[in-house]
Amino acid sequence: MRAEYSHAKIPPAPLLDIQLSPPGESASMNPSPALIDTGSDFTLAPLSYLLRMDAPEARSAFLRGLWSEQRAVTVYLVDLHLENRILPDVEVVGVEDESNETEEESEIILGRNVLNRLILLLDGPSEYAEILERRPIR
Amino acid sequence: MSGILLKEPALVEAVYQVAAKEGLNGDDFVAEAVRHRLAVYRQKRIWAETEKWYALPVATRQQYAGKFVAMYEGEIVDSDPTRATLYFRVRERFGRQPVLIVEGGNQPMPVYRIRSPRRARGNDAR
Repeated sequence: MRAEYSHAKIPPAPLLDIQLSPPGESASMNPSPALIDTGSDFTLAPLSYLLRMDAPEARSAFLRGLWSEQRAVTVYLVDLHLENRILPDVEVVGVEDESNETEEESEIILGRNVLNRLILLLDGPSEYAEILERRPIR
Repeated sequence: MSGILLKEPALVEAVYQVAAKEGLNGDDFVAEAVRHRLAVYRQKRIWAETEKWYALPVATRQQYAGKFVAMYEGEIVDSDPTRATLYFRVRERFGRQPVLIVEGGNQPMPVYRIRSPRRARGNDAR
């Protein structure tokens, strides 16, 4: 699976089109862009997106930004659908997106709880990201 | 199961007015509002279960190290080394009721850090 960097962000950023579904169910919603963010401990998804698919709640946790206070959040269980494979049993934090102020707020953030399950190639000079099936031969 | 009828005329009028402003039809607007209300209810229930889990004696939580635990109304109702297996069993038994599924062991409630200051706003579930 290969995706061009998005130029909607400055500098350009790696995004993948993904779908989420409740565990064990097929993906019924349109693919959404998800930002590859190795600086994020955890994966975030707009709450409205999770509620429309009726994703089940699993537990509570705390979320903290660089310049923001700690907040209690709910962690949901989903399957994450990539172009040619499914990552089952993924936890995502639901974040409020009532205002829809910016495109950024309706975006899924792929944090390290997901990224650490993938072999990723980020080719900055060529501006594409690719999920590899196996490690490259050195 | 039968549908639900909204009987307050003023409320119905308000729904249509706001839905039109938001570019939605009345049914979709009400469905979204109900989904959000149900989510708030379930989030509070999950928060309450989470507090009960972390209030358990360390020795009790430690008994479940290496497993995932399901808690409902303050009681540990199931556990399994695999979270997905536990989830499907819990779903079969409790349906769509909010059941805590948490990693066993004596670790504290996790704090996740993200880089985007806007997204950290979250939805305070307490």
